[in-house]
Amino acid sequence: MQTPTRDFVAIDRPQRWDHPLDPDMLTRDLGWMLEQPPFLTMNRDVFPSLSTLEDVLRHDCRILRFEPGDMVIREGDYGGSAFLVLRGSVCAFLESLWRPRGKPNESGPPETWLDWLKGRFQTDRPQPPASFQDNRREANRSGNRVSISEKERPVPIQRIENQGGKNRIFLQDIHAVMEGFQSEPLGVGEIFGEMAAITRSQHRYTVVADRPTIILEIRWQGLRLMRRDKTFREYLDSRFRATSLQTHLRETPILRFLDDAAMEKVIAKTRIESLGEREWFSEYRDTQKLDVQTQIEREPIIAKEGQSVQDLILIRAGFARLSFEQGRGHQTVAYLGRGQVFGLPELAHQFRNPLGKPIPFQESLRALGFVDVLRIPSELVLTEILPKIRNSELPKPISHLRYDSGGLVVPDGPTTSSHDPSNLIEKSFAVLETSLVEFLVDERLINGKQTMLIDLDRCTGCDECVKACATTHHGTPRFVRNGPQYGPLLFAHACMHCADPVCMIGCPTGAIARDPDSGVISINPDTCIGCKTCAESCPYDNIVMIQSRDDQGRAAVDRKTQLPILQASKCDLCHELKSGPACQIACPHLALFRIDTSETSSLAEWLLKRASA
Amino acid sequence: MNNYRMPPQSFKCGNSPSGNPCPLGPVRGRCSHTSSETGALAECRPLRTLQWWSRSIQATMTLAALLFVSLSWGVLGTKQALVPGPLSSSHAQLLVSNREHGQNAHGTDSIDRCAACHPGNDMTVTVSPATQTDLCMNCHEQQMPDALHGSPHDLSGSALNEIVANGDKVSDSETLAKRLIRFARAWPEKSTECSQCHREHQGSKHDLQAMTSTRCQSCHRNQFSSFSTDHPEFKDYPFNRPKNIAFDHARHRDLHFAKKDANFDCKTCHLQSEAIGAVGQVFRSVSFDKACAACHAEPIKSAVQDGLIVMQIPSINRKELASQGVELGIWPSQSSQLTDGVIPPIMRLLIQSEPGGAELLTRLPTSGRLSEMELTRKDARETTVELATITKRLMQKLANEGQPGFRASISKLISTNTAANSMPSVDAKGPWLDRFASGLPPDLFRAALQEWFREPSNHNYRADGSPSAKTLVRLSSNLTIPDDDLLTGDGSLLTQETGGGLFDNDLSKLKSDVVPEPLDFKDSRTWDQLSYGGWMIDRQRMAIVYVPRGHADEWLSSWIELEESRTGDASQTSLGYESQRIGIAQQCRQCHALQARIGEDGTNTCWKSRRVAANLRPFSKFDHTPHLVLSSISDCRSCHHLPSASSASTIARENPKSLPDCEFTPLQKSLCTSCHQANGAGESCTQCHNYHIGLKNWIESKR
Amino acid sequence: MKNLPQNHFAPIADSLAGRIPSMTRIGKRLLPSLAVLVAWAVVRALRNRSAASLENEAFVTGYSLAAVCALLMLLGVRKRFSTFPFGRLAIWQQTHHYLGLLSVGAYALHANFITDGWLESILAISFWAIALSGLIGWYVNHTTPRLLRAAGRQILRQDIPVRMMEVADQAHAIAMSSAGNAETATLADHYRADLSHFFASRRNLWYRICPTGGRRRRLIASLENISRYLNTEGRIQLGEMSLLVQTKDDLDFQSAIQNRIRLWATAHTWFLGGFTVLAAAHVLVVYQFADNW
Repeated sequence: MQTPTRDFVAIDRPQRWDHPLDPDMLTRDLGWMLEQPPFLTMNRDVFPSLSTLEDVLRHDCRILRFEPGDMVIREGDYGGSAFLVLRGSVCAFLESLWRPRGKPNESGPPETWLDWLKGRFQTDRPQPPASFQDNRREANRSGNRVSISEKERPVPIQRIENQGGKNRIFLQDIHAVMEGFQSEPLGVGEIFGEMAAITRSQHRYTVVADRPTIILEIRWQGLRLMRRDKTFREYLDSRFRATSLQTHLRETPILRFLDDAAMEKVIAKTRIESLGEREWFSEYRDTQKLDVQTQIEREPIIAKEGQSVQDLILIRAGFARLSFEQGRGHQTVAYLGRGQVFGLPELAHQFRNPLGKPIPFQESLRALGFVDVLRIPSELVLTEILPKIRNSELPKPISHLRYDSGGLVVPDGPTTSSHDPSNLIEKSFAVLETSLVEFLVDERLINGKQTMLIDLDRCTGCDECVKACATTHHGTPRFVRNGPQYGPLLFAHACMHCADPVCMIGCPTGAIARDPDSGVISINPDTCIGCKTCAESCPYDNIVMIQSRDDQGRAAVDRKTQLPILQASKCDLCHELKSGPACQIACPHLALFRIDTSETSSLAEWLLKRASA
Repeated sequence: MNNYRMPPQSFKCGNSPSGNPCPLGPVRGRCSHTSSETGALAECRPLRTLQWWSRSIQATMTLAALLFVSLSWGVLGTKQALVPGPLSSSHAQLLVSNREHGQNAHGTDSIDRCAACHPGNDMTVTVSPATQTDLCMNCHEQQMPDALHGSPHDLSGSALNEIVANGDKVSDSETLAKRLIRFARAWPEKSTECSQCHREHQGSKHDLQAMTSTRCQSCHRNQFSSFSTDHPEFKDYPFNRPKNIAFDHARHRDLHFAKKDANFDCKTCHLQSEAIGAVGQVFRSVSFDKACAACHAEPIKSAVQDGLIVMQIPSINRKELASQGVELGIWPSQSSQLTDGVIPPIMRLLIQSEPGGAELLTRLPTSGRLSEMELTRKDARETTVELATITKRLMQKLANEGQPGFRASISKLISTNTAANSMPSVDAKGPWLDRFASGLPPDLFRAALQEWFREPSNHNYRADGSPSAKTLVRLSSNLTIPDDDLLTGDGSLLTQETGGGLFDNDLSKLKSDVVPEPLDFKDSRTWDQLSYGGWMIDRQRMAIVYVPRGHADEWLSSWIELEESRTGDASQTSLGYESQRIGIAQQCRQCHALQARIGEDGTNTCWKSRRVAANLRPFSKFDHTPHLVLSSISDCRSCHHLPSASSASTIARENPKSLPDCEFTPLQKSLCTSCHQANGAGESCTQCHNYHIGLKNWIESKR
Repeated sequence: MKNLPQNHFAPIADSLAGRIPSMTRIGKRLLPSLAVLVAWAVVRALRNRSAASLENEAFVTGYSLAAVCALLMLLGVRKRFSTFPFGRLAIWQQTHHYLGLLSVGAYALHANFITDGWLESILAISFWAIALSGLIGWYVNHTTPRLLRAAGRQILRQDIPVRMMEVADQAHAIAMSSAGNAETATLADHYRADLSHFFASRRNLWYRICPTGGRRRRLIASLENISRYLNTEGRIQLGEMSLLVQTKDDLDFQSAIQNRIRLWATAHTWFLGGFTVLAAAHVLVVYQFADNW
């Protein structure tokens, strides 16, 4: 028999705010901040005693100073913080300075064995300077420069320069860039970057200081607490509608060819709408138990089939279910994600024969969880937008009308889904059978960007994947080789690194965070206090509370209570490994894959490959 | 809230069957004391999993293997478990028998049988003195001493060069020559090892000598891919070997056998049908009695009937001598009546052996007839007297010294011979001379002396009445020849009888009554009694005659060999007339290619047909027996074609040496290839060729 | 951003037009097989060459065989390093399969099926054991996934005993509830007589070796038979019970198949250590005794 002390290593239980954002924040600065708007006007009473405004400011905020040209946030990065201008001013670029890099979280292909060995031998190998990456980015930008509309513009080059031990990232010749690109100045008291922080999405614009500037960075945990103040909340919402609408419309494909005047009109007329709960997962847990049809009924409806098309609908954030009534229930045709439009075929039909009667919506659109939609009035679409679109980009005419002006069309002969694939994304839907789509939607797998997919026609249950995962994570695997199953497809209980990572909501310490570059969501064991918030908020049971153990595999217990110390654990996509997720590499039967299910295309592609092989 | 499932490990939590295992599971086979969240420490005894069992099986197997190897190698000392396979029966029984004696061929311990063939097989890294091949040769040196060369075909580099030098005699000369030159240059001595071709440990049934052609192809690769296509055409196979007995098959078939319309069947001579086996034994050469005697025995017998004159009293005209005032002393009177005075060849040789004999012969008349000498001249008279004395001396020598004397004079003949190299080497001279001398009967010479050289018989003619008694008495009184027991005894007996009381009576009457008739052999015909050969005194020719007994008479052959050996002699050629040769030899020469080639045992090999030496492993081998089994080719003539008797063969009769060595048309490869295909009777090199060839014999067979 | 470049969907567009390049499947099998054949031919040529130069051809073939075996063993090493970036393990596995074929070919060139002599025989036997187990393992790996799918939703091997217990408990509960009422008690009796053992115990060895549905059918049939002694409530319970029987049988099937996979996967490694040791010994012996090479 061995004494318990041999098997445990006693440590201190991590506490919230063990790691403040700015450990050496001066009380003087704190006091100064409290004088500044909007904190000056905030209602202190709404804050709980455990976390007063001071606490929030002390722990979740940080004062930053920028020189002209310094980059505050870069488009495409995942931001965890909002920024408040205290002094000086910054300018936010309304259009993309750089073409989008591909998927944010592409785990590069396995490098050569030489690099592997290098990595094994020299653990601390010098990271290549960021300027390299930027040059590379520059290169492939000039690679696919297709747009005709682009005139000669100054190429924004970002430089990195070391000042007093910290890297300073700034744009070269900031003023030339500001002339070249459409930008908007933000002055004192204005907040930016908060949308990305709250919706756990990428920054959509780049913000650069155009003069010496003092900025307060607010961790979004802090921001959430500040939302308790009503005025501040309303201010935030208004802000976000204004700014994000701009950028979003700019980057919507069908609005690509609008000139500024037309765009102005569109922006003026566009209405913004938010549906569903932002913390949708809690009620999803409840509705999950209900049967599918009632679930669908419960989903807030964005546009109903048969109703006349008032406006074109753009999905700004979240997911929406595309369905039509079939018998007693609703048949899901597809789900639309961020940046996709609804109602275009109907409007196109009307545009093609303007004399004919306008046809109503052919399908319904329902919000899955939290959805932001933009509504562009249809007459505006017909007059301003559609004429400028190439015919090739117009959706094909609708073959079978499900609804016409008279209402429901009684189908003569067998009517398949009238929704014949116009664009390629919808084509990919045509590849997936409806039941699969419904399955994905019902299980909310549409959220996953790195969904672990196991092909049960190949999997022999050899557990090589689990072994690999365990060996990469101190002997404990980070996923369960089981989960929702659709025919031969098993969507294992492994973190999907969701497009909308609800697990990150409510983490008191920000231990669970998304890597700006790769988009991988990982839990920092040093800051995780084992509060189980993330584990409970994950709708997919993909976060598990485990006993933290040291490298010898000894379980860690609390020094005082001798109770095991639990910490949240989930798949971190082996982001330390250059070789990508170990599970995928280790599968001997080509049965395990990581697939982006938030866009159906890759899944469809995979299914086709599977069918062909 | 679901838990992670641990990957397969050697142990699983003892609570897992009950449904709530620890989330961590056992750590290194020990319970880690923690159940999921409640932190309640539920002690458990971890369970072994399939993983654990398979691991232990692996370990067991590995250990077993290690144990097996170490035991069979080092610990037990015997390595029999490591033997890759049973030895071939011959080697195996050798080792076993050695083991029974507790020793193997090399005196090492019987346990370590490997050492018999594997030098230094213990794991000591010391390099072993002897190679494996040396160990093989320890036993096999007797069969194939040349294999020690360890070079291709057991030929040392020099030997290879030698063969290449006279490669034109080799059947497929240029290719073989090229090949061999390459070997001689490229292969150092001892470049091949036995084990390269002879693979052991293939099981007791395995034939160590069975070779695949690839072994040969390794050198003969570039033209020998198949026998039928690539093997060179036989130029003269069976090889042209000069023959001792010039038997002309064609002539016999077409003339002699045809005359007697006898069936000329190969098998009657060359096949020993009564021998065991399907077809019996095939002979290259056959004995005289079996094959030739039927026709040739009789002529030979008649040819030698007159016999050889060994010694003849030369006919000398004594009256003329006397008229010239030369008294010859005691001399057989009959000799003067004989007309021809030719000295027979053997006697000439004997005379040569005498001191001054050779010189004397030169002075005789070239015709050889003594009667042609006119005795009026003084030198002729002296020659005659010398001849007479030499003759007398010869006879007395043979009578007194007998065979030793004869042997001495023959050996003198050899030594005087200038072409001595054709005579037996010095050590071989002895046995040959012994056999030669053994034929001579001294008694006969005595008897002849006694008969011919007594007192001049003129007072016989003068005396009256029967001279016999007196003759006897006188003879007994003054004979110069050594004492003759019979006669003296006889004489003494008579004298004693007469010395008895009988002298008082009338002598003449009494004697004429008492004395029996004396034996008289004068007119007895010895020929009739000598029908099987032997010695006799020829009283008409005044000669001592040897009658050979038909074919293969040793004494006669010895003389012929002697004569052959002296053909190059100057003293002979100086007087070149036929009479100096032994006449019968012509008869022998018809069939025998006579040469003086005398072996160590003193016998002359030239009489018998050549034999293939028993230990000769020729480069090419052929076994008739399996072929004769096939009815299609059971007839020899299906392969051996004999052209009809040609002019060449008639010439051959006059001069046997000029007969072609092989009168059969050379065999064509097509004869073999009709059967010997890869899928037929086989075409592997070793079917017809030996790899290990006796070096000496092989080169000899090529010469 | 969701506006994807057009070429991203090119394969799908093709496939929708039914233009899937179908040779990929053939190529996947054909090319490696050809490669194996070529490699084998090369070994064979080497052997003939050394035989032609009066060497011992066993050395060439032996070394080729050893090399192939070493490559085969590399898979095990690779599995130790799960973070190994040299391509996916699946590729290695495939290569392993084809190399396995090659190794058999090389063996055929090197030695007889079973050689004489203890060491060699054991070596050969272990080789064949490994090769055979590998072959069977390969077959099992390729056939069983569909078998498993046939037995309903997949279940983790670790969970099977737990699920069995649950099922057994549910069955027991049903039996208990039915025991109270005289009109349903027959079910309880039947449960005690027939089913309790079925639910409680593992299946016999024969079933675990080759699982069949015979017993399930028998049990369900026997349940059908007693249905006429039951009232409606009892019939409902009967239905549930037969469902549980089905479930239990599925679980048994699952565990049998999954264990089979595990078994063959491990069986492939049982003789590995021994084989390696013997092979090394074999090489040593050869170099010790086959001198002058």
